[in-house]
Amino acid sequence: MEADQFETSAITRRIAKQQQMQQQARTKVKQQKLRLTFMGYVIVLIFLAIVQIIGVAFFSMGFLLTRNVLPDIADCNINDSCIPPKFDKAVLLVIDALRFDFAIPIEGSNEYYHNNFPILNQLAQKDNAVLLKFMADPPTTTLQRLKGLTTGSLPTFIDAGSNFDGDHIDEDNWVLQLHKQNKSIACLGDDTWQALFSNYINPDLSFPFDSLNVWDLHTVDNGVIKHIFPLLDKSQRNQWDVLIGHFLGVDHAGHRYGPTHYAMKEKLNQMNELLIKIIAELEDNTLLIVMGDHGMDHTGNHGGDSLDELESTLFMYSKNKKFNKKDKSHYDISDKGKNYRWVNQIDIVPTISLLLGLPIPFNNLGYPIDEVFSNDLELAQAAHKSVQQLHSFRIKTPDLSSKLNEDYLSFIQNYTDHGKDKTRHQDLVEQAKRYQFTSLEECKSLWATFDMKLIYIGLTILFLSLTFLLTYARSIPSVRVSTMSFEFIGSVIAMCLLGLVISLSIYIVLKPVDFSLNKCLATGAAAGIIIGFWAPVMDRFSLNWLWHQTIDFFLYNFNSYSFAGLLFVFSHCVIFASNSFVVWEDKMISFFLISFGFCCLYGVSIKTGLPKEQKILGLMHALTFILLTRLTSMIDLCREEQRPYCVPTFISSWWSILLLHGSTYILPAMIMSFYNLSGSYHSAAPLWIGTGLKFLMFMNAAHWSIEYIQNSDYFNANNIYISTALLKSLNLAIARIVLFVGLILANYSWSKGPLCVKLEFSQNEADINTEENEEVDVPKTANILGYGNVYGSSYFLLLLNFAVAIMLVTKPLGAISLNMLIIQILSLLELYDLLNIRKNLVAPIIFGLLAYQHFFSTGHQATLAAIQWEIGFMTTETIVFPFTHLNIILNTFGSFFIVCLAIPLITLWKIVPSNKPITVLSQIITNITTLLTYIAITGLSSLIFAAHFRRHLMVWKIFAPRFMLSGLLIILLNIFIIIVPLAFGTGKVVTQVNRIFGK
Amino acid sequence: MAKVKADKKSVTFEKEDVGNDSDATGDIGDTSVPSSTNAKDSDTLKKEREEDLVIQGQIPKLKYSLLTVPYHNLLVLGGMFYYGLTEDINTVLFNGLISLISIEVIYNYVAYGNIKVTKKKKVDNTNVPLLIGGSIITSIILSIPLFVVIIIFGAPLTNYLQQTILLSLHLSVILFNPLLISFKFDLNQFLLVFKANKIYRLIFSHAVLSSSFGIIIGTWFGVVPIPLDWDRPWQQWPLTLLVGGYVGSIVGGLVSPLVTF
Repeated sequence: MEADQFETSAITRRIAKQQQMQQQARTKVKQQKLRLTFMGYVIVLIFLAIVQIIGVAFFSMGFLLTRNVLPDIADCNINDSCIPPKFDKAVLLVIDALRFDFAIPIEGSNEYYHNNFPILNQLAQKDNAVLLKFMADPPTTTLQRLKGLTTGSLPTFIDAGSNFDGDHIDEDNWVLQLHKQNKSIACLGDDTWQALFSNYINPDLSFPFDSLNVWDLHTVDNGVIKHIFPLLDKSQRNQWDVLIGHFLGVDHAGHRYGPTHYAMKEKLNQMNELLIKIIAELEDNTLLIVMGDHGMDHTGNHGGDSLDELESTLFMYSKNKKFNKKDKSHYDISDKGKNYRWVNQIDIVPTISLLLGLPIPFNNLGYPIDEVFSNDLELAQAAHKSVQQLHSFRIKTPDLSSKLNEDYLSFIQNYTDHGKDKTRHQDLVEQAKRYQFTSLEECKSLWATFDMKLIYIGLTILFLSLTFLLTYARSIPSVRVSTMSFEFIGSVIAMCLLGLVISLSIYIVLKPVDFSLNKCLATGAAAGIIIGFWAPVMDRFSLNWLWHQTIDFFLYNFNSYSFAGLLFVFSHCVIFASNSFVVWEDKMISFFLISFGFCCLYGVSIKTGLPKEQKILGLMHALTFILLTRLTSMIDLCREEQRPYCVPTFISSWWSILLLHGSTYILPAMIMSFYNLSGSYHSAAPLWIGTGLKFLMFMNAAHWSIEYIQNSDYFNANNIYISTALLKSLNLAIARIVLFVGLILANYSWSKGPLCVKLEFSQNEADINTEENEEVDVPKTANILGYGNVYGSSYFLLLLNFAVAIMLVTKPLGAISLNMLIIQILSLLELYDLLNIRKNLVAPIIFGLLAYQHFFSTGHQATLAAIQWEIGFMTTETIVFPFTHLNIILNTFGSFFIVCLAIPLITLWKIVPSNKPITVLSQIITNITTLLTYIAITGLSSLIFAAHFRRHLMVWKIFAPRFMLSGLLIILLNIFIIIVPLAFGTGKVVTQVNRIFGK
Repeated sequence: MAKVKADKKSVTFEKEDVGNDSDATGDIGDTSVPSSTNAKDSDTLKKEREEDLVIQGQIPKLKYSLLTVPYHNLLVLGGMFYYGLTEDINTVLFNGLISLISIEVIYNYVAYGNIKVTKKKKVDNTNVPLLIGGSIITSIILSIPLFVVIIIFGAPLTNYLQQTILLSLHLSVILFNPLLISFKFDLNQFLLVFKANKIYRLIFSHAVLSSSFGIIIGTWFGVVPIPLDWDRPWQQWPLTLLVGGYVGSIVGGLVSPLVTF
């Protein structure tokens, strides 16, 4: 018996052990399966990201042609590149938007803009003046034109190599050259000159006036008139060598009233009289140049490349020197001067340089104007100088073809052989002109044209990836998606390789001229990946099935919330079709969010079957969300186009600092109360929120207080006790500590798996003996507090890590806005739970809108000017590769990062540990891909409209910056969302919780 | 007679189980039932529909839907533009409000006469002038929360306040007044609407509800032209919203007879 008993007990024990082992093995298999599914998702998303990035890259290459700005400065001593000056002094008058037909007599025209500015043409009938048509290069905006008029180059939207910060000019230009020769430059009028050349203009003789107020026709002109005559007077003439005056009246009259308005006549008449007076004051050795920087179209606006906008006027006059004019037939004023002799706008640059004895600016592409050189010998000399300058530029620009080099050698050969021979000068000049022409054309094709082929390829790739993304996110049931990952991966890799091979062979066989190997391979890879994605989908389902799936969605799963979501996405895509809506995007997004808030308010109030407390709580959440959204929308950094309807509120002032200090206490308390709702404020939570967050936020507040004190006038006036160096290093230290703790230390500790639960022993079984055996008896005797929100409470801590780092690199009011973002996210999560819409497509879309709203309310706009470059220097004093860039990226896209981190919470918030972690995971993937779809679909829309409006007046001011924002968002969010919220965050939290609580 | 027709029409696309549905509430002209929902089984469907029918039986009904459409709103709106709304917004809006209220009183009499008397209360002892006066005053008072809502939705907080107040008064009168009259201040009856399973069907089958819904939607879409840089006088705050609300009230009112027939 004994033995028997012993045996049976041994058997039972063995069976129990076996069962336990089986159980363990099963859990292990389950865990492994989870990990495998997880890997599958990550890899699929990586491939999707790659396709989208390739698409954006193609589009950008086609759209944003960059130009290399060479830093070299020309010098007279190199190559003997100067000729003696013909004039000692020059007066340069720019009449903004002086179209060519304004300045020539037009017979029979009664328009206000014709025949009201006759002085130029009258003077040009004599030999000491010349009037020419002056062809500008697009874009015809004043800033770009002034760059062209002084550097002789073709400014594109982005001048690679120049500094982004401000408009200050880096390139070699004749103003710089004048300054180098210790000439004094006086400058009156449009403040764009001041912005570009502040270092070179004589500060005593600078009288800038605001150029942006197009409603004001007279301030700038009257200001110039007031200051120009004293300067032209004998007593002050010796103070300057070159006098620049920029009149804006004509341009503003065009902008405000259009050319067909009486104001235009008045302005032109005023300019006419003014010129007569100025000419009377001129000295003999002074050169007078009058020019327009661009024209205007029939509405009076400019910026594009229509003929009316390009045609401007150039007039040169000297009291006693003669211009070497061509035959009368060249100056044909019939038909509004259609066949009048024209010169390129950039030709003025070598002309001015040679006339004033300066070296031609290094980046110049123009050719000196023939009329200013009195004989063929001078012409040949000028030709030689400018060809030499063009050649030295060419050497530094390897993209240009080698044919130019041969041309150059042949010209130099001819010049040295026949330079002295009078009869050959004409030929030499012709050859030089040909050389300049080819070089200019090559540069133009390199810099100034859109590459439509690349744009279309980019758009196609993005569109195809979007269709797949949409199918992947919403059409295929998420259960199926989880099993399909490895099919996708296999076929994608195969197809991608196939695509690479095919594109390589196409490249080798066909040798396309304008398509480099890299581009070929990228297209092949993208096409391969897309086909690879579609193959398994088509294998399992059919287009018909997918179509029915879509219809079914609209029939059965469609409710007011999905309708709202789709409406918001649709409207957000459509706004890119109009520049006004792009300008006011921030307000539209706030409007959508508040509308959604009211939907939630309504949804909670009519929801039946809720306990009263829940209902009141839900109403409070909705109200909180609405009010915070409204408050956030009041923080605004207005973009230029929004003026005067927008009052900028994004300013650092003492009260924003105070608010920042206040939020140090308010935010952790608010988060704590949200945690208490699900009873999760335990173990890790008090440490993270109550201690860590509060401390780091206090550091942030301290940092910005110091920053504020440093910049305040009061402190600077009474600065006695604290040294600025000390404050500076203190600030650096704080910034480094917060960033290190927030981004690295806290995330490392988070990866160890902090849980916000607490074991609470129930009273009736609180026996000391059982407590000692708690390993066995825990399930019976203890309650786990915070069990209902195990995933969410733990995951949210990760969001806080990043949020606190992002708050540091955001200016005070922006940080306040981010505080509100966190509360908004929490209220939304509660609302999603309450209204049971966490699986609805509206959930991630609202999060996306929220990110956009806080992008704007943290002091950003979709313009280059709104990038907060100074944030880059928070952790380092000079530009240091990863840190400066990291700061700027965190600052600019911070709200998007926070929202991306919050996306898994839509699924994870307030759920108990699930038996089916794979289902949880697949829901998270659905939400993530829905957000990515939203970003991609709005991005694609903005890209399409940027390409469509590429000839639009506002393309470089509105559409192109918006496209850049969209492109960057597509790239950055794809990368970020895969690495941090998905691979790191979700992966850790789901496996962790399931290891502990999983059955 | 038209109601019967509607019944027949609904039968055609509602599969067979409509036929044996003619119980206590069967005599009510009804199209508020979804056509087909395979996802839910027919029992719950039927139950939902019955619930909706009960609700629909309890809320006040109209004799002629077309009569309740607030046509006069078009007149008021057109009149305001005729008297130079774009030049002097505040004065014209205020004058418009006065005329709106006086016209609304007449409309209220028409609307009141248009309400079907429910079977339960055969004797109607409502003091009609008191009802109308009370409803006008209540709608004016209700303009205060509406004003707050408009501000929350993004109306300027510091300037244009006078215009916003006038906007909310206008909207409040055209939105709440017809509702108050047709529901006779019975909040519980009104709240029943939100308990319906197919709320949009219910709203669009009731001219007053549908007109009010139209006002909300119209005002919401009224913001669209504001950002456009056309610099037209009618783009001024709050004219687009006003126009949206007024047009919405008429369109909403007209949609309802279209849906019912």
